[in-house]
Amino acid sequence: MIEIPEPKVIEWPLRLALGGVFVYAGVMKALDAQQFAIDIQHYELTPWTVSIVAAVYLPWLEIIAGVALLVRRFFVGAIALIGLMAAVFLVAIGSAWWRGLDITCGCFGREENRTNFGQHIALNLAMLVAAGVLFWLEWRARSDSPPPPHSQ
Amino acid sequence: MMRRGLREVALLAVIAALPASVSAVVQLKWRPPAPLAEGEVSAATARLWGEKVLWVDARARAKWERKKIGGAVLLNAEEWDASVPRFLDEWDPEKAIVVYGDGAQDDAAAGVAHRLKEELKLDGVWVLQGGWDAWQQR
Amino acid sequence: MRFSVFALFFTLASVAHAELVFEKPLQNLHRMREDGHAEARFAFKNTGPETVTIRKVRTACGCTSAKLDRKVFAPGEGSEIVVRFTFGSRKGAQRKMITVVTEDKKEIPLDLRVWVHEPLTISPALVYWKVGEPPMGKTVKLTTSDERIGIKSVASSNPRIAATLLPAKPGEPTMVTVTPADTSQKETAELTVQTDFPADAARSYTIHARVK
Repeated sequence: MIEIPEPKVIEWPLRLALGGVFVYAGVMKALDAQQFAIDIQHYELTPWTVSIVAAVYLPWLEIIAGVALLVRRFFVGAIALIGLMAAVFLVAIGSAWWRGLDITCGCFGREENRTNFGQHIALNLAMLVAAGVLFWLEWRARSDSPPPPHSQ
Repeated sequence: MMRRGLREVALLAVIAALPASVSAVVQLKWRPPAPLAEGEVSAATARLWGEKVLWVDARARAKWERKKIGGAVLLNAEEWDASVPRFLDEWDPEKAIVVYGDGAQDDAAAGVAHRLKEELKLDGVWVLQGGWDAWQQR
Repeated sequence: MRFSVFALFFTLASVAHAELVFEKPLQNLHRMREDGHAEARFAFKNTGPETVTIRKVRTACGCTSAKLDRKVFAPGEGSEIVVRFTFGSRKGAQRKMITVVTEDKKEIPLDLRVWVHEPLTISPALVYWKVGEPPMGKTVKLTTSDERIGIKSVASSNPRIAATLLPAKPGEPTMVTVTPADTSQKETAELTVQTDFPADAARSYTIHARVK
Protein backbone atom coordinates (compact mmCIF):
# COMPACT_ATOMS: atom_id res chain seq x y z
CA MET A 1 0.00 0.00 0.00
CA ILE A 2 1.40 3.42 -0.93
CA GLU A 3 2.03 5.64 2.04
CA ILE A 4 0.93 9.23 1.45
CA PRO A 5 3.36 11.59 3.19
CA GLU A 6 2.18 14.17 5.68
CA PRO A 7 1.05 17.36 3.95
CA LYS A 8 3.74 19.34 5.76
CA VAL A 9 6.47 17.14 4.25
CA ILE A 10 5.26 18.17 0.80
CA GLU A 11 4.36 21.72 1.69
CA TRP A 12 7.63 22.86 3.30
CA PRO A 13 10.00 22.21 0.39
CA LEU A 14 7.49 23.49 -2.16
CA ARG A 15 6.94 26.70 -0.21
CA LEU A 16 10.65 27.28 0.27
CA ALA A 17 11.55 26.50 -3.33
CA LEU A 18 8.72 28.45 -4.93
CA GLY A 19 8.94 31.39 -2.55
CA GLY A 20 12.73 31.49 -2.82
CA VAL A 21 12.71 31.39 -6.62
CA PHE A 22 10.19 34.21 -6.86
CA VAL A 23 12.00 36.41 -4.34
CA TYR A 24 15.34 35.86 -6.11
CA ALA A 25 13.87 36.40 -9.57
CA GLY A 26 12.04 39.52 -8.40
CA VAL A 27 15.16 41.06 -6.84
CA MET A 28 17.23 40.44 -9.97
CA LYS A 29 14.65 42.16 -12.12
CA ALA A 30 13.94 44.98 -9.68
CA LEU A 31 17.61 46.02 -9.81
CA ASP A 32 17.36 46.98 -13.49
CA ALA A 33 13.82 47.87 -14.52
CA GLN A 34 14.97 49.46 -17.76
CA GLN A 35 16.59 46.24 -18.97
CA PHE A 36 13.57 44.20 -17.85
CA ALA A 37 11.30 46.53 -19.83
CA ILE A 38 13.44 45.87 -22.90
CA ASP A 39 13.24 42.12 -22.25
CA ILE A 40 9.43 42.36 -22.01
CA GLN A 41 9.38 44.37 -25.22
CA HIS A 42 11.18 41.53 -27.00
CA TYR A 43 8.10 39.36 -26.55
CA GLU A 44 6.26 41.79 -28.83
CA LEU A 45 3.04 41.45 -26.83
CA THR A 46 2.74 44.90 -25.26
CA PRO A 47 3.29 48.52 -26.22
CA TRP A 48 6.29 50.26 -24.66
CA THR A 49 4.28 52.05 -21.94
CA VAL A 50 2.77 48.81 -20.70
CA SER A 51 6.21 47.14 -20.79
CA ILE A 52 7.65 49.89 -18.59
CA VAL A 53 4.81 49.67 -16.06
CA ALA A 54 5.08 45.88 -15.97
CA ALA A 55 8.87 46.06 -15.62
CA VAL A 56 8.59 48.33 -12.60
CA TYR A 57 5.67 46.57 -10.91
CA LEU A 58 6.03 42.84 -11.63
CA PRO A 59 9.36 42.28 -9.85
CA TRP A 60 7.94 43.75 -6.63
CA LEU A 61 4.83 41.63 -6.97
CA GLU A 62 7.11 38.59 -7.27
CA ILE A 63 9.11 39.63 -4.20
CA ILE A 64 6.05 40.37 -2.06
CA ALA A 65 4.25 37.18 -3.11
CA GLY A 66 7.41 35.14 -2.59
CA VAL A 67 7.96 36.56 0.90
CA ALA A 68 4.28 36.02 1.77
CA LEU A 69 4.64 32.41 0.72
CA LEU A 70 7.82 31.93 2.75
CA VAL A 71 6.41 33.42 5.97
CA ARG A 72 2.98 31.90 5.38
CA ARG A 73 1.06 35.15 5.60
CA PHE A 74 -1.74 35.92 3.14
CA PHE A 75 -0.92 32.43 2.01
CA VAL A 76 -3.82 31.77 -0.34
CA GLY A 77 -3.38 35.13 -2.02
CA ALA A 78 0.35 34.47 -2.45
CA ILE A 79 -0.25 31.07 -4.04
CA ALA A 80 -2.87 32.54 -6.35
CA LEU A 81 -0.57 35.38 -7.43
CA ILE A 82 2.40 33.10 -7.98
CA GLY A 83 0.29 30.63 -9.92
CA LEU A 84 -1.13 33.45 -12.04
CA MET A 85 2.33 34.88 -12.76
CA ALA A 86 3.72 31.45 -13.65
CA ALA A 87 0.78 30.94 -16.02
CA VAL A 88 1.29 34.35 -17.64
CA PHE A 89 5.04 33.75 -18.09
CA LEU A 90 4.25 30.32 -19.54
CA VAL A 91 1.88 31.81 -22.10
CA ALA A 92 4.37 34.58 -22.98
CA ILE A 93 7.28 32.18 -23.47
CA GLY A 94 5.11 29.72 -25.39
CA SER A 95 3.90 32.54 -27.60
CA ALA A 96 7.48 33.69 -28.29
CA TRP A 97 8.52 30.15 -29.12
CA TRP A 98 5.53 29.68 -31.41
CA ARG A 99 6.33 32.87 -33.27
CA GLY A 100 10.03 32.01 -33.54
CA LEU A 101 11.19 35.05 -31.62
CA ASP A 102 14.77 35.34 -30.45
CA ILE A 103 14.28 36.87 -27.04
CA THR A 104 17.83 36.91 -25.78
CA CYS A 105 21.01 37.71 -27.65
CA GLY A 106 20.63 40.27 -30.42
CA CYS A 107 22.80 38.40 -32.97
CA PHE A 108 21.87 35.57 -35.22
CA GLY A 109 23.44 32.82 -37.15
CA ARG A 110 24.92 29.58 -35.99
CA GLU A 111 26.91 31.05 -33.17
CA GLU A 112 24.07 32.96 -31.48
CA ASN A 113 22.92 32.36 -27.92
CA ARG A 114 19.34 31.22 -28.34
CA THR A 115 16.83 31.10 -25.50
CA ASN A 116 16.36 27.57 -24.25
CA PHE A 117 12.60 27.66 -24.64
CA GLY A 118 12.11 24.08 -23.52
CA GLN A 119 13.94 24.75 -20.27
CA HIS A 120 12.00 27.94 -19.51
CA ILE A 121 8.66 26.34 -20.29
CA ALA A 122 9.48 23.33 -18.12
CA LEU A 123 10.48 25.60 -15.23
CA ASN A 124 7.31 27.68 -15.39
CA LEU A 125 5.19 24.58 -15.73
CA ALA A 126 6.86 23.14 -12.64
CA MET A 127 6.15 26.36 -10.73
CA LEU A 128 2.54 26.32 -11.85
CA VAL A 129 2.17 22.70 -10.73
CA ALA A 130 3.87 23.52 -7.41
CA ALA A 131 1.44 26.40 -6.85
CA GLY A 132 -1.42 24.09 -7.73
CA VAL A 133 -0.24 21.47 -5.22
CA LEU A 134 0.12 24.10 -2.47
CA PHE A 135 -3.36 25.40 -3.23
CA TRP A 136 -4.80 21.89 -3.08
CA LEU A 137 -3.05 21.13 0.21
CA GLU A 138 -4.37 24.34 1.73
CA TRP A 139 -7.86 23.72 0.45
CA ARG A 140 -7.78 20.15 1.84
CA ALA A 141 -6.49 21.39 5.19
CA ARG A 142 -9.30 23.90 5.46
CA SER A 143 -11.90 21.34 4.37
CA ASP A 144 -10.66 18.84 6.98
CA SER A 145 -10.66 21.41 9.81
CA PRO A 146 -13.87 21.63 11.81
CA PRO A 147 -15.89 24.75 11.05
CA PRO A 148 -15.73 27.55 13.63
CA PRO A 149 -18.59 27.52 16.13
CA HIS A 150 -21.49 29.86 15.23
CA SER A 151 -21.65 32.89 17.50
CA GLN A 152 -24.96 33.41 19.30
CA MET B 1 -11.51 30.41 0.83
CA MET B 2 -11.94 31.95 -2.62
CA ARG B 3 -13.20 35.22 -1.19
CA ARG B 4 -10.35 35.33 1.30
CA GLY B 5 -7.90 34.49 -1.46
CA LEU B 6 -9.14 37.37 -3.61
CA ARG B 7 -8.87 39.78 -0.68
CA GLU B 8 -5.32 38.66 -0.05
CA VAL B 9 -4.41 38.98 -3.73
CA ALA B 10 -5.69 42.57 -3.70
CA LEU B 11 -3.78 43.34 -0.50
CA LEU B 12 -0.50 41.90 -1.81
CA ALA B 13 -0.98 43.79 -5.08
CA VAL B 14 -1.38 47.07 -3.19
CA ILE B 15 1.62 46.35 -0.95
CA ALA B 16 3.77 45.67 -4.03
CA ALA B 17 2.71 48.96 -5.61
CA LEU B 18 4.47 50.98 -2.89
CA PRO B 19 8.09 49.90 -3.47
CA ALA B 20 7.34 49.69 -7.20
CA SER B 21 6.47 53.40 -7.21
CA VAL B 22 9.73 54.27 -5.44
CA SER B 23 11.66 52.06 -7.86
CA ALA B 24 10.00 53.80 -10.80
CA VAL B 25 11.05 57.21 -9.58
CA VAL B 26 14.61 56.19 -8.72
CA GLN B 27 15.38 54.08 -11.77
CA LEU B 28 13.47 55.80 -14.51
CA LYS B 29 13.82 59.46 -13.54
CA TRP B 30 17.38 59.56 -12.27
CA ARG B 31 18.96 57.80 -15.21
CA PRO B 32 21.36 60.07 -17.11
CA PRO B 33 21.35 59.67 -20.89
CA ALA B 34 24.18 57.41 -22.11
CA PRO B 35 26.91 59.31 -24.00
CA LEU B 36 27.05 58.67 -27.72
CA ALA B 37 29.92 56.48 -28.91
CA GLU B 38 31.87 57.46 -32.01
CA GLY B 39 29.69 57.06 -35.10
CA GLU B 40 26.44 56.81 -33.12
CA VAL B 41 23.33 58.89 -33.44
CA SER B 42 20.50 59.05 -30.92
CA ALA B 43 16.92 58.10 -31.82
CA ALA B 44 15.82 61.69 -31.16
CA THR B 45 18.35 63.14 -33.61
CA ALA B 46 17.66 60.50 -36.25
CA ARG B 47 13.96 61.35 -36.05
CA LEU B 48 14.81 65.00 -36.75
CA TRP B 49 16.68 63.96 -39.92
CA GLY B 50 13.34 62.72 -41.22
CA GLU B 51 13.38 61.85 -44.93
CA LYS B 52 17.12 62.43 -45.23
CA VAL B 53 17.85 58.99 -43.79
CA LEU B 54 18.24 55.60 -45.40
CA TRP B 55 17.48 53.12 -42.64
CA VAL B 56 19.44 49.86 -42.66
CA ASP B 57 18.23 46.93 -40.59
CA ALA B 58 21.08 44.71 -39.39
CA ARG B 59 18.82 42.27 -37.52
CA ALA B 60 17.70 38.82 -38.57
CA ARG B 61 15.39 38.62 -41.57
CA ALA B 62 12.45 37.33 -39.52
CA LYS B 63 12.53 40.44 -37.32
CA TRP B 64 12.83 42.77 -40.32
CA GLU B 65 9.84 41.08 -41.96
CA ARG B 66 7.79 41.36 -38.79
CA LYS B 67 8.46 45.01 -38.00
CA LYS B 68 10.99 47.58 -39.12
CA ILE B 69 11.69 51.30 -39.04
CA GLY B 70 9.78 52.62 -42.04
CA GLY B 71 11.34 51.65 -45.38
CA ALA B 72 14.43 50.07 -43.83
CA VAL B 73 16.58 47.94 -46.11
CA LEU B 74 17.70 44.60 -44.74
CA LEU B 75 21.49 44.26 -44.67
CA ASN B 76 22.88 41.83 -42.15
CA ALA B 77 26.08 39.83 -41.81
CA GLU B 78 24.36 36.57 -42.68
CA GLU B 79 22.98 37.77 -46.03
CA TRP B 80 25.62 40.36 -46.85
CA ASP B 81 26.56 39.27 -50.37
CA ALA B 82 22.96 38.80 -51.48
CA SER B 83 21.70 42.02 -49.86
CA VAL B 84 24.39 44.54 -50.87
CA PRO B 85 23.09 45.03 -54.47
CA ARG B 86 19.58 45.73 -53.15
CA PHE B 87 20.97 48.10 -50.55
CA LEU B 88 22.97 49.96 -53.20
CA ASP B 89 19.84 50.31 -55.36
CA GLU B 90 18.14 52.10 -52.45
CA TRP B 91 21.23 54.06 -51.43
CA ASP B 92 21.32 57.80 -52.09
CA PRO B 93 24.64 59.64 -51.60
CA GLU B 94 22.64 62.67 -50.36
CA LYS B 95 21.10 60.72 -47.46
CA ALA B 96 22.60 59.65 -44.17
CA ILE B 97 22.75 55.91 -43.62
CA VAL B 98 21.58 54.88 -40.15
CA VAL B 99 22.10 51.25 -39.21
CA TYR B 100 20.20 49.66 -36.35
CA GLY B 101 20.36 46.32 -34.58
CA ASP B 102 18.32 44.86 -31.76
CA GLY B 103 19.50 46.93 -28.83
CA ALA B 104 22.29 48.41 -26.81
CA GLN B 105 24.02 45.09 -26.20
CA ASP B 106 23.98 43.95 -29.81
CA ASP B 107 26.90 44.82 -32.07
CA ALA B 108 25.42 43.63 -35.37
CA ALA B 109 24.72 47.24 -36.40
CA ALA B 110 28.27 48.32 -35.54
CA GLY B 111 29.54 45.43 -37.66
CA VAL B 112 27.41 46.35 -40.67
CA ALA B 113 28.28 50.04 -40.38
CA HIS B 114 31.95 49.11 -40.20
CA ARG B 115 31.71 47.08 -43.40
CA LEU B 116 29.87 49.84 -45.23
CA LYS B 117 32.67 52.25 -44.36
CA GLU B 118 35.64 49.91 -44.85
CA GLU B 119 34.58 47.81 -47.85
CA LEU B 120 32.25 50.10 -49.78
CA LYS B 121 34.03 53.28 -48.60
CA LEU B 122 30.74 55.02 -47.86
CA ASP B 123 30.49 58.27 -45.92
CA GLY B 124 27.68 59.41 -43.66
CA VAL B 125 27.17 56.03 -41.98
CA TRP B 126 25.77 56.07 -38.45
CA VAL B 127 24.70 53.51 -35.89
CA LEU B 128 21.43 54.11 -34.03
CA GLN B 129 22.24 54.28 -30.32
CA GLY B 130 20.24 51.63 -28.49
CA GLY B 131 18.99 50.10 -31.76
CA TRP B 132 15.43 48.92 -32.33
CA ASP B 133 14.78 48.90 -28.56
CA ALA B 134 15.57 52.60 -28.30
CA TRP B 135 13.43 53.44 -31.36
CA GLN B 136 10.47 51.69 -29.73
CA GLN B 137 10.72 53.83 -26.61
CA ARG B 138 8.60 56.67 -27.85
CA MET C 1 24.83 52.52 -18.32
CA ARG C 2 22.34 51.02 -15.87
CA PHE C 3 21.68 52.59 -12.52
CA SER C 4 20.38 50.88 -9.43
CA VAL C 5 19.55 52.07 -5.94
CA PHE C 6 22.57 50.20 -4.56
CA ALA C 7 24.99 51.67 -7.12
CA LEU C 8 23.66 55.13 -6.32
CA PHE C 9 24.48 54.72 -2.59
CA PHE C 10 27.88 53.25 -3.44
CA THR C 11 28.98 56.09 -5.71
CA LEU C 12 27.79 58.73 -3.25
CA ALA C 13 29.86 57.13 -0.49
CA SER C 14 33.25 57.22 -2.30
CA VAL C 15 34.98 60.41 -3.32
CA ALA C 16 37.42 58.94 -5.87
CA HIS C 17 36.78 55.54 -7.38
CA ALA C 18 39.34 53.21 -8.93
CA GLU C 19 40.07 53.29 -12.61
CA LEU C 20 41.03 50.65 -15.13
CA VAL C 21 43.05 51.95 -18.04
CA PHE C 22 43.45 49.90 -21.17
CA GLU C 23 46.60 50.29 -23.28
CA LYS C 24 44.81 49.67 -26.57
CA PRO C 25 41.01 49.56 -26.22
CA LEU C 26 40.72 49.46 -30.03
CA GLN C 27 42.54 46.71 -31.92
CA ASN C 28 42.73 46.08 -35.64
CA LEU C 29 43.65 42.62 -36.87
CA HIS C 30 43.87 40.99 -40.27
CA ARG C 31 43.26 37.29 -40.69
CA MET C 32 42.71 34.88 -43.53
CA ARG C 33 39.37 33.11 -43.67
CA GLU C 34 41.13 29.74 -43.15
CA ASP C 35 42.44 30.93 -39.80
CA GLY C 36 38.94 30.47 -38.41
CA HIS C 37 39.43 32.82 -35.50
CA ALA C 38 41.28 35.86 -34.25
CA GLU C 39 42.61 36.46 -30.76
CA ALA C 40 43.31 39.84 -29.24
CA ARG C 41 44.83 40.72 -25.88
CA PHE C 42 43.56 43.82 -24.16
CA ALA C 43 46.10 44.72 -21.47
CA PHE C 44 44.99 46.98 -18.64
CA LYS C 45 46.13 48.42 -15.34
CA ASN C 46 44.39 49.80 -12.26
CA THR C 47 45.72 53.36 -12.12
CA GLY C 48 43.36 54.50 -9.39
CA PRO C 49 43.82 54.63 -5.61
CA GLU C 50 41.30 51.87 -4.86
CA THR C 51 40.85 48.21 -5.64
CA VAL C 52 38.76 47.49 -8.73
CA THR C 53 36.62 44.39 -9.13
CA ILE C 54 35.51 43.38 -12.58
CA ARG C 55 31.97 42.05 -12.34
CA LYS C 56 31.77 40.68 -15.86
CA VAL C 57 33.11 40.98 -19.38
CA ARG C 58 30.17 41.13 -21.74
CA THR C 59 30.25 40.15 -25.39
CA ALA C 60 27.36 40.62 -27.77
CA CYS C 61 27.16 37.07 -29.02
CA GLY C 62 28.47 33.55 -28.70
CA CYS C 63 30.96 34.02 -31.54
CA THR C 64 33.10 36.17 -29.27
CA SER C 65 34.45 34.93 -25.94
CA ALA C 66 36.49 36.76 -23.33
CA LYS C 67 38.83 35.27 -20.72
CA LEU C 68 40.15 36.94 -17.61
CA ASP C 69 42.45 35.20 -15.13
CA ARG C 70 41.11 37.03 -12.08
CA LYS C 71 38.65 39.74 -11.19
CA VAL C 72 40.11 41.80 -8.34
CA PHE C 73 42.88 44.30 -8.98
CA ALA C 74 44.63 46.32 -6.31
CA PRO C 75 46.04 49.77 -7.21
CA GLY C 76 48.91 49.33 -9.62
CA GLU C 77 47.93 45.81 -10.60
CA GLY C 78 47.00 44.82 -14.10
CA SER C 79 46.32 41.91 -16.38
CA GLU C 80 44.86 41.28 -19.82
CA ILE C 81 41.55 40.19 -21.27
CA VAL C 82 41.96 37.63 -24.02
CA VAL C 83 39.20 37.98 -26.59
CA ARG C 84 38.64 35.27 -29.14
CA PHE C 85 36.45 35.95 -32.15
CA THR C 86 35.45 32.88 -34.15
CA PHE C 87 34.43 34.25 -37.50
CA GLY C 88 32.94 31.09 -39.01
CA SER C 89 31.43 32.04 -42.34
CA ARG C 90 31.84 35.77 -41.78
CA LYS C 91 34.19 37.67 -44.05
CA GLY C 92 35.31 41.19 -44.76
CA ALA C 93 35.52 43.95 -42.18
CA GLN C 94 34.16 42.61 -38.90
CA ARG C 95 33.69 44.57 -35.71
CA LYS C 96 32.97 43.15 -32.28
CA MET C 97 32.26 45.16 -29.17
CA ILE C 98 33.22 43.92 -25.73
CA THR C 99 32.12 45.64 -22.53
CA VAL C 100 33.99 45.41 -19.23
CA VAL C 101 31.62 45.98 -16.32
CA THR C 102 33.15 46.83 -12.95
CA GLU C 103 31.58 46.36 -9.54
CA ASP C 104 30.76 50.07 -9.33
CA LYS C 105 28.71 49.67 -12.54
CA LYS C 106 31.24 51.48 -14.75
CA GLU C 107 31.19 50.12 -18.31
CA ILE C 108 34.38 50.22 -20.37
CA PRO C 109 33.96 49.49 -24.10
CA LEU C 110 36.59 47.53 -26.01
CA ASP C 111 36.58 47.44 -29.81
CA LEU C 112 37.93 44.51 -31.80
CA ARG C 113 38.08 44.98 -35.59
CA VAL C 114 39.10 42.03 -37.67
CA TRP C 115 39.40 42.05 -41.43
CA VAL C 116 38.72 38.50 -42.54
CA HIS C 117 40.46 38.29 -45.87
CA GLU C 118 39.19 36.20 -48.67
CA PRO C 119 41.70 34.82 -51.17
CA LEU C 120 40.92 37.91 -53.22
CA THR C 121 40.42 41.34 -51.67
CA ILE C 122 38.64 44.02 -53.65
CA SER C 123 39.17 47.68 -52.79
CA PRO C 124 36.97 49.56 -53.05
CA ALA C 125 34.07 47.16 -53.50
CA LEU C 126 31.90 50.03 -54.76
CA VAL C 127 32.60 52.69 -57.38
CA TYR C 128 30.02 55.34 -58.18
CA TRP C 129 29.38 58.56 -60.00
CA LYS C 130 26.78 61.20 -59.38
CA VAL C 131 24.44 61.96 -62.25
CA GLY C 132 26.11 64.64 -64.33
CA GLU C 133 29.59 63.96 -62.99
CA PRO C 134 32.29 63.52 -65.68
CA PRO C 135 32.33 59.81 -66.64
CA MET C 136 36.01 59.32 -65.75
CA GLY C 137 37.23 55.78 -65.20
CA LYS C 138 37.69 54.69 -61.59
CA THR C 139 40.22 52.08 -60.47
CA VAL C 140 39.61 49.06 -58.29
CA LYS C 141 42.50 47.14 -56.77
CA LEU C 142 42.41 43.34 -56.65
CA THR C 143 44.85 41.83 -54.17
CA THR C 144 45.37 38.08 -53.98
CA SER C 145 46.62 36.38 -50.83
CA ASP C 146 47.62 33.25 -52.69
CA GLU C 147 49.87 33.32 -55.77
CA ARG C 148 47.98 30.34 -57.16
CA ILE C 149 44.99 32.61 -57.77
CA GLY C 150 44.76 33.95 -61.28
CA ILE C 151 42.26 36.54 -62.39
CA LYS C 152 40.76 35.42 -65.63
CA SER C 153 38.19 38.07 -66.52
CA VAL C 154 35.92 40.84 -65.39
CA ALA C 155 32.43 41.07 -66.88
CA SER C 156 29.80 43.78 -66.39
CA SER C 157 26.06 43.08 -66.04
CA ASN C 158 25.33 46.43 -67.73
CA PRO C 159 26.83 47.27 -71.14
CA ARG C 160 26.68 50.96 -70.24
CA ILE C 161 29.28 50.45 -67.51
CA ALA C 162 32.45 48.82 -68.82
CA ALA C 163 35.18 47.06 -66.91
CA THR C 164 38.74 46.67 -68.17
CA LEU C 165 41.33 44.39 -66.65
CA LEU C 166 44.73 46.07 -66.71
CA PRO C 167 47.86 43.97 -67.26
CA ALA C 168 49.35 43.19 -63.87
CA LYS C 169 53.04 43.41 -63.04
CA PRO C 170 54.40 40.38 -61.22
CA GLY C 171 53.98 40.64 -57.46
CA GLU C 172 51.68 43.61 -57.73
CA PRO C 173 47.88 43.82 -57.34
CA THR C 174 45.72 43.62 -60.42
CA MET C 175 43.86 46.77 -61.38
CA VAL C 176 40.42 47.04 -62.96
CA THR C 177 39.23 50.26 -64.53
CA VAL C 178 35.47 50.85 -64.44
CA THR C 179 34.05 53.45 -66.82
CA PRO C 180 30.42 54.45 -67.46
CA ALA C 181 29.40 55.33 -71.00
CA ASP C 182 27.90 58.49 -69.59
CA THR C 183 26.36 59.72 -66.33
CA SER C 184 23.22 61.32 -67.72
CA GLN C 185 20.98 58.87 -65.90
CA LYS C 186 21.05 56.42 -63.00
CA GLU C 187 22.76 53.13 -63.76
CA THR C 188 23.38 49.87 -61.95
CA ALA C 189 26.05 47.26 -62.65
CA GLU C 190 27.49 44.28 -60.85
CA LEU C 191 30.92 43.40 -62.20
CA THR C 192 31.92 39.77 -61.84
CA VAL C 193 35.60 39.07 -61.31
CA GLN C 194 36.23 35.49 -62.34
CA THR C 195 39.27 33.68 -60.93
CA ASP C 196 40.69 30.28 -61.77
CA PHE C 197 41.06 29.08 -58.21
CA PRO C 198 40.33 26.54 -56.85
CA ALA C 199 40.57 24.59 -60.09
CA ASP C 200 37.53 22.38 -59.43
CA ALA C 201 35.24 25.22 -58.25
CA ALA C 202 36.71 28.50 -59.42
CA ARG C 203 35.38 31.41 -57.37
CA SER C 204 34.06 34.73 -58.55
CA TYR C 205 33.85 38.07 -56.72
CA THR C 206 31.76 41.20 -57.22
CA ILE C 207 32.53 44.85 -57.76
CA HIS C 208 29.47 47.09 -57.45
CA ALA C 209 29.09 50.08 -59.75
CA ARG C 210 26.38 52.76 -59.63
CA VAL C 211 25.51 56.06 -61.22
CA LYS C 212 23.30 57.81 -58.68
